[in-house]
Amino acid sequence: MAVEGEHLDGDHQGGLDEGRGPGRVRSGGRAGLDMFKGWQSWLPALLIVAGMVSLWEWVVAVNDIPHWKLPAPSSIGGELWQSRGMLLGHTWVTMEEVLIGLAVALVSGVLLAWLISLSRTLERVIYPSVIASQTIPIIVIAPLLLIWLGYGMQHKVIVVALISFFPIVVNTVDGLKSADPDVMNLLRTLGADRWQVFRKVQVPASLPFLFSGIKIAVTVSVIGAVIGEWVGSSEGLGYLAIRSKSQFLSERVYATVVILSLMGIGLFLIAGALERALLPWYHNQRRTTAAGED
Amino acid sequence: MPDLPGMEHPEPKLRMQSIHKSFTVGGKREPVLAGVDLAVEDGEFVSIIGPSGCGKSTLLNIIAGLDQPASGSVSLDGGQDQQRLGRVGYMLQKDLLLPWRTVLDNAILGLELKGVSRRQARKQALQLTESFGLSGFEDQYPFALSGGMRQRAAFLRTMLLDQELVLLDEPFGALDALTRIQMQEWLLNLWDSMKSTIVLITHDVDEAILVSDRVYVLTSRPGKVKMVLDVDLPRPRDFEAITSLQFTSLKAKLLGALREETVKNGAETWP
Ligand SMILES: Nc1ncnc2c1ncn2[C@@H]1O[C@H](COP(=O)(O)OP(=O)(O)O)[C@@H](O)[C@H]1O
Ligand SMILES: [Mg+2]
Repeated sequence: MAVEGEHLDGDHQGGLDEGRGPGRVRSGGRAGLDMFKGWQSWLPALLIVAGMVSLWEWVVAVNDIPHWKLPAPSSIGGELWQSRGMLLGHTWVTMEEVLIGLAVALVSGVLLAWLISLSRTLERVIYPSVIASQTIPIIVIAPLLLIWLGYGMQHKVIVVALISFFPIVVNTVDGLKSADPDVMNLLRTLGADRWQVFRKVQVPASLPFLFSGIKIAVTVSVIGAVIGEWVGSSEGLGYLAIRSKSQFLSERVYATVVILSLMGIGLFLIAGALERALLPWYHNQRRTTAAGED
Repeated sequence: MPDLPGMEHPEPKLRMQSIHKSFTVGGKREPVLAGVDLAVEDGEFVSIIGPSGCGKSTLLNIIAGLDQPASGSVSLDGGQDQQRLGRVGYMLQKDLLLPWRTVLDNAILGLELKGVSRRQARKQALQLTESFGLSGFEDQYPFALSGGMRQRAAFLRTMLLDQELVLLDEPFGALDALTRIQMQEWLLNLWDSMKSTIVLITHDVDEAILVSDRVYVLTSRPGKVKMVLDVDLPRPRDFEAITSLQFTSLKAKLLGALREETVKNGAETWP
């Protein structure tokens, strides 16, 4: 049937909207870390960390560095264990700020992204302010927030939200734009109105991007909480780090750093696990494509 | 118009009269369709064939209501409603399945948009998965399916809405030769049992003759109707028809008309 010479069309497109419209843009800006799969794949990372810690221990011991200048990993570990009750208390405080701040960032970020994607005009009105919000140094805003909102939790939560919402907005906007125009036209021929096209095509298409944004957001959120606490707080790991530094309790400063890193890594892993659980189609599709079976 | 008693010719399912359309590309107006006239009767299977870029897809976009002509009229069942979106089934070469929906949930998309409950829609779709060769794959995501299956899933999504007019834009163009033949025979059977009205764009001459009641040949851009060929091969047809004398003479006519167009245009796309 398909005898050569009987095909008129060279083009293998046949789109509803030929001549324009990008294909699927899903690769750009994706922070997918496939190294967190199966414990064996963790081994190199663990070995590197273990190697660096050993080196650190060795350097401190050989050079007889005073503990207030640079404590050995073993003494940081000792501090983590001995002060565990107190450290845990401060950890909860910081964790609470981070989680509430992230929730605020998620809701406001997604809503802003939806607004931005509604029309070109809204994009031109809103997007510049969103970008501007990131160019003002957070360390300058934070004390102002403290003055406006008073001493308490609010200013810390807002600093966390302010620093975390940006990657969520940017990624979600890109995700909403990534929806295939041919698919959107197809929905119109099935009788969909604009809101239905948004809900059934654009929002699902944006979810993998949203998760990329969340992964970046959770890691910077921890920094936000620390800055918020430095500006004014009587509890939390950031506060504890500053107080311990002034008391030359270096082991304790490093202990807070260890906990803060673990917090960031933990949140990142949780975001990745949620993504795999909630977007199975996306994950399996990527695996199949990567394996060249598609 | 009042329903006159004894009226010989009821309005055709689709009538297009002197359709003109142009696009502005780089500040220059490029005419794409230059007065297309076309009529499709209820229950007819009509194919459109023509050189690449002559405006076939544009024509279907206009019928579907995604685009409006610069001038000329389109009527469905005699009514000249500008709003045709949601009334005409439309399927492309790309399956356009939503990757986050399973086969079944992709199929029910149209029903869902019309307000049918998911449960009800799924029940309706499940009755058809067998004849669409999809049984056992209802809960798979599209990426796990072969090209032919994905295309059948897209067919199911189109057919489930039970539109009276269905537009197919090179639906088998991306499939390999063997799968394409299977799909053509399958489509013939489907159409026999469903009795919907179909307009098919194809670049495959055999396909056009095999499935159609009538074939429209378009000129190279700007497109207008060059020739209308009635295909009076007996039905039901199957692939064997292709070797009959009648088929060969129809094919010679079609190829002749097409060759004229492509030669005229400096053999733009003829291999
Ligand atoms: N939205 C558009 N904007 C500008 N030019 C277009 C658009 N859609 C189609 N065209 C042009 O119109 C011509 C006909 O396109 P099309 O209808 O897709 O042809 P066919 O389907 O017959 O190959 C082509 O030259 C194409 O580049
Ligand atoms: Mg085309």
